Amino acid sequence: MTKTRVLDAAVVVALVLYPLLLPGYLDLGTRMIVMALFAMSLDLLVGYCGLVTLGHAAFFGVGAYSAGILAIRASADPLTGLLAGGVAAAILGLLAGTVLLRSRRLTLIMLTLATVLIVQETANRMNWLTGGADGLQGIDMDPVLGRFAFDLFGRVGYVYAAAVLALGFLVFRAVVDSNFGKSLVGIRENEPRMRAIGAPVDTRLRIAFVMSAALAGIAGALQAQVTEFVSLNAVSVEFSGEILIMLILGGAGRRYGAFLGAPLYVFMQDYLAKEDPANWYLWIGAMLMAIVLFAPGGLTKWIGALVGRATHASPLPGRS
Amino acid sequence: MLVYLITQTLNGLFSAALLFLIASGLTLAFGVMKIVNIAHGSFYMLGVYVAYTVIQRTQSLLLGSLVAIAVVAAVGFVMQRVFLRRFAADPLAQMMMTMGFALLFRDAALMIWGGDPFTLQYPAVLRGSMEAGDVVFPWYRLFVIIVAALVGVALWTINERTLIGARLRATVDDPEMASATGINVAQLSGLVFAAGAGLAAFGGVMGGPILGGYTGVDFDLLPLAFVVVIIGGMGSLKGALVGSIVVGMIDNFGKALVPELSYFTLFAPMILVLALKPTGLYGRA
Repeated sequence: MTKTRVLDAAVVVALVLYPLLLPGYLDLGTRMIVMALFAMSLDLLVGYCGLVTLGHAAFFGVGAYSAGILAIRASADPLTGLLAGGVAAAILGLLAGTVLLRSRRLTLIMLTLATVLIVQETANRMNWLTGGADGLQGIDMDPVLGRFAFDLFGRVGYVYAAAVLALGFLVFRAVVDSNFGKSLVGIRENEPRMRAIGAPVDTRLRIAFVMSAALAGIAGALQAQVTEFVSLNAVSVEFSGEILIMLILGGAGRRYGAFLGAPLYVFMQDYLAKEDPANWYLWIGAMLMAIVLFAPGGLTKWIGALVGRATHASPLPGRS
Repeated sequence: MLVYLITQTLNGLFSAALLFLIASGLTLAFGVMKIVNIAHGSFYMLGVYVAYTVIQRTQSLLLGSLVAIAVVAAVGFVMQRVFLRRFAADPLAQMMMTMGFALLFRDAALMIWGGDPFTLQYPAVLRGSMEAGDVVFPWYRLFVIIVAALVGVALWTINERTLIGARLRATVDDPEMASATGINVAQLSGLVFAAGAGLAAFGGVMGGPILGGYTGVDFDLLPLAFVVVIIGGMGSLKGALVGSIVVGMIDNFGKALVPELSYFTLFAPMILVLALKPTGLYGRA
């Protein structure tokens, strides 16, 4: 348990130190936080259920559009918006999950890809509601809890996003540490055996899928609120691929993977956009291959192994 | 109306011909290695670009095709033997690896050939159009349909009538049992992957005079090829053929009749087939 405490403390310290050390880059920090939350939602599917999807942005985007449209047309209260984003994405997740979860592997990847393309096309066509290719503009959020108004420097936005991430992580961890979460891992490792011992595999995967969609929707709503803008890119295949890369970078199914992968990716994106914008995909491709080749399990596993080797030298050399 | 129908059918067959060249390699690689190859569209793209360089120097479509096939097949072979083979038991790692390659190829092509779109030149013999009654159809498109049909016959013969084909079918059915009977599955995988890459490159050369080469052509074609493979059933050559014709026709007629629903017309048949037969038309569980 002490390891968990150390890691939790590290996350909190990073969240607190960032605005103190880099007060001029709060927007970037907020983006890292939102991506971490989104990557965490994907982790529930990829890391714990073993279901690979290339369409998770569908849920992020629906959450973002729901929160944005709600803010423009009805209520601009941030927490109501988060709830609306989560619920809308969960409903889509329930509908999509019923169809998608009948298949696995390539077929599942293709169906999730189809889902996100169809959602994107729908958002594009309904431009009277979503703004279409111009994006959803004119979002103006009320103060958080009626007291903390969003400021120009993004201070409130940062703290608000960090709080949502922390709460999201507590829920996420409670889920993956529960017996339910352990049965998901069982399904990932050996689905036929789980069926054989009588586990309700389909129901559990469907619940996990809806949870993951809801969390992705909340991340989307958060992004819509702090940036006060939603673009069609929020429901794209490219974005779905990017979030998968962030998760793999940090390490899937390892609880803290999203905390490392998402910020690192967002930082690299920002840095390379200034230094070497022409070769962005080259760098990402090379990095992805390096991770798969040299640090399978992502950076969290790699760092964990380094720390493990440094702290307690094995009494039996060659075994770990 | 009839003329319109015939012309659109022929256009659909042209799309189907290109799709078959791309999807046949994809489906076989999936059948043998169970790999989700995100870089398969990149093989098509590399094919167009390599052929472009060769054809500019030599003006020969044939030479362009041969060099493109050889170069891209070699790239595919190295990719499989050096990188993908290590992750045989880990589909996610394999997929991320191919995604890395796809991104790498995309920027490499941009660096080497620049970002200007182009179309490939083709022999004067194939220019102009065939006229039969009121139906007018370009000779080149007809040529591609015939070439793809010949490739299909050749693949079918190899698959059904040769020893390598028998080994291939055995491995698609059950890699472990195939391996136990003495079939060198690792070597076969490399071969199939390279052949698939070469076929996709050939598809690129054949499509080059019409669709041309441009940044993003790789990811434009990949979803179509995946849909073909899923409809036909993974690992089935017959499935790739039937799937190509279905997707080629629907894509063509869909775009002509209801252009605003292009994605829906593409994915609807896939979802319908999966609802009726989850393994695809000719796939096995």
